[in-house]
Amino acid sequence: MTRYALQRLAASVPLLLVISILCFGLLHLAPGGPFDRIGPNVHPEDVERLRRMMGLDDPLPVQYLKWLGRTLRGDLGTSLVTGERVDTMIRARLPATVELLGTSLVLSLVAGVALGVIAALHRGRLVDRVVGATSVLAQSVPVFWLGVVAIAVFAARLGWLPTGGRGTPGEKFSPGDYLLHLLLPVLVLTFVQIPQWSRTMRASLLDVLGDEHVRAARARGLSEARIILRHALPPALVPVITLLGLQVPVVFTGAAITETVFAWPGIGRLFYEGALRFDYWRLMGLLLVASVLVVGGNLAADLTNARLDPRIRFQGKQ
Amino acid sequence: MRHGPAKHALRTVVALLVLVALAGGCSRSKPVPRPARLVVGITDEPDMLNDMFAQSKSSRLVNHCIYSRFVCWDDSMHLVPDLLTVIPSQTNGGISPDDLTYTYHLRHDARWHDGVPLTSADVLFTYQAMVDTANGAVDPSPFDEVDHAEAPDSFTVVFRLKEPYAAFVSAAFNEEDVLPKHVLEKLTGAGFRSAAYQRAPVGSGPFRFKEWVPGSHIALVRNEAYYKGAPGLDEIVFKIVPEASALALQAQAGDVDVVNGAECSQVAAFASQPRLRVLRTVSLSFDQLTFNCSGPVLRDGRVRQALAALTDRGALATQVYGEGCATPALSDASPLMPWYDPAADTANVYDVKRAARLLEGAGWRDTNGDGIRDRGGKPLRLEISTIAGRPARERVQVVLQQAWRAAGIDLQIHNYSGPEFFEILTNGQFQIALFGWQQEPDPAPMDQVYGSHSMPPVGQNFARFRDARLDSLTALGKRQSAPVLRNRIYREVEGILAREVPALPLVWLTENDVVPAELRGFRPSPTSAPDTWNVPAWRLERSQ
Repeated sequence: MTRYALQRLAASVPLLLVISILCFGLLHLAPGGPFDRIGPNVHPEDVERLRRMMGLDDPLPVQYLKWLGRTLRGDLGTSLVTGERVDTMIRARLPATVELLGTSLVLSLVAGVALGVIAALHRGRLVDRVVGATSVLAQSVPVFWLGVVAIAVFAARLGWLPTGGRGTPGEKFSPGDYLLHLLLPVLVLTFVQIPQWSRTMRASLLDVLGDEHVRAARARGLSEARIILRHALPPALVPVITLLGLQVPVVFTGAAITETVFAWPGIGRLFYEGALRFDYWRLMGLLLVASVLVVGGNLAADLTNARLDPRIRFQGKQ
Repeated sequence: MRHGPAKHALRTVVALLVLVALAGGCSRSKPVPRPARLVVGITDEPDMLNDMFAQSKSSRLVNHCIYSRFVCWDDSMHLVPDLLTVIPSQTNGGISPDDLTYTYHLRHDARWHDGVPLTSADVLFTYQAMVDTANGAVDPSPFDEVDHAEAPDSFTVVFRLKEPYAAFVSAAFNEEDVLPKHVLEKLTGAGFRSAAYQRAPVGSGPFRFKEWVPGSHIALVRNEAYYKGAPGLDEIVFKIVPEASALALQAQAGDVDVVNGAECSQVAAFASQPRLRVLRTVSLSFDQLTFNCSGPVLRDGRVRQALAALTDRGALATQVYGEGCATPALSDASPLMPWYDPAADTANVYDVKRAARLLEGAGWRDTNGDGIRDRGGKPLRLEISTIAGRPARERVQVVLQQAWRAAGIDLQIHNYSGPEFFEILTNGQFQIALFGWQQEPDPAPMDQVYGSHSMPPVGQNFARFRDARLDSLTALGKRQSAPVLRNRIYREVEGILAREVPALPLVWLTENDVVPAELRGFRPSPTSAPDTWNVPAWRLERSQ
């Protein structure tokens, strides 16, 4: 297992390198640049001077190699827009994103898995159909629209919850105020995320329930609860864990649309706003962090699955 | 039994939600006296709190609260002094007879927020920081016009220009903040831009910096020692809400007090709320058609005049932009400007018959009866471009397409992304470009827009317009500081533009600001000066 993990780790390095080259190339393929917002009265020679100062006059391969060199030394560079260190910017925004995405991930995972199990155990019945229809609805609704409607109803009209932000600006932090601000974006994100868990869980459990080992357990006269909890649920969770491995990085990379609608100061917005301003080093830093997390999340999911499902271990030993 | 745990879980969730709501409710209903705090919603997060580097409008909005400057445009487009005891002019001896030496007298009572007096050394330091290329100031103008500067005493600064530049008095330390030498002198150089100061500044203006929570807000508190008297508000918070519709909802819910630059489509919803007041200011921002005068068709002034006569700007303002959202721009000089020429406004009125005469005079007739005019076998086909995704401008294109088609002109629409659009403007690969401009109260930049020495990429003469008389007039106007002579010069320039039509201004855009009904003193300026230009005068009637 350790050797397998090390092999996978070693393979991640060239993968990350290729991803960074692709990201760098794509960012520079897009028309425009970080000086687009400079007023028309600024002399072109002043713009050129700024380009030189920020190292943007170098050929692209040189710019990439300089970025790579800096990054390998632990320096993600400074923002072309705000002059801040990119790692400082990421650190400042990360807690907000982890709170929002982490809470909604846990809530949607718990609710989604529970609904998936219920739907699978009531296959074809009303409960199953209600869960299915709600899932389709939740997956079809654009999160932007849902967010705006939620603000309009629960904040602007009913006045139950704040309209956005991570707290009342300018006031001292209070847990109640913070939780009230967190509630609406978390509920919106949870609602749209539940279907991915419930559908995966339902399909997987139905699959496992038809397996030979479950039929054998029934033949041995075990109770239905024991069959489900001990023999069906663990292997049925394998695709859920794989999905979780893919979703965990999102907790750290943010949800740009939700964060924008709810004025939540997270990583997603940091990326979105950086993209609007062609803030190359900020974007490269964020993309690198996201890539490391995705690759790491996949690895963690594979290793966890190997523990949960004996067949994966068996194939691994072959 | 099977439903027991589910019911229990539901009860727990409901109990938690009630607790959360109560906790929030309790914290909201504390009987503490409310400070006179104003929350201003902005969609763009400021990039830095120093106009030497900042590129966003929101930065200027905040910086006007924190810093002092020499002068500022007020809401009547008059230049008003801030740090100065008097604005230099030839009459008061502040400008030398040769228009080269500008003498500024600073107030004696201005102090930095840390208590250190603001002196001429700070002004000299800021000037030097602006022109020192190692610091990376975005736009060193107008200080690139300065030959040398000196401070004969603690409250006098003298700038000697390389050559006369009449706009210097309105431009110097208008958009630039005066910076504190004692805080910054050891920070200048290559790392100046990245210094922590740029996000936590020390100013000398009406509000002191309190905190900047990235992505959330910037909070400022009243400077009790402000040299013009303590401002009327205790605190001002700039809340960052990047999405316009979410910002509107925040204002409706009372989480945001001021919406700076609300969208026109939202005005009715705001106006219906008695708690809010909508201020509509006809700004100096205008939409304009720029004709590429180097092209084979539009090189002919008669065709450009005909297109102007076929464009009903009154109808565009009311029917396309919307009632109250725009007013017709009959020239690029607002009637509020001293160099406004009423005759220029009547030169290109909507007149379909005149347009037909002009086109026929230029040789464009419909010889084959297909409804499109032609000349030498070629149809009169033009292309109009703008930045895709701007609904009002895209509607203008369609209206013009229909109106001009009726006059025998085939107008094609080809739009681009923002960067691509500015690329075609620069390389000249367009015929008619529709985009927005910001007029300045001082006409000096006119030579950059229409001067034959200002062809892109060096200048902004996107129309590729050449006129020797205009060149000499704008060169003269740039040097002439006497207001009467200057206004006469630019009136003549307006006459040339009305006659030759290198560009056709369409509408002046209205800026909509939403403020609480109890806010007093909020007077948005039509110029590019941020709405906080007079923030010390803002006060809430409810404040105690």
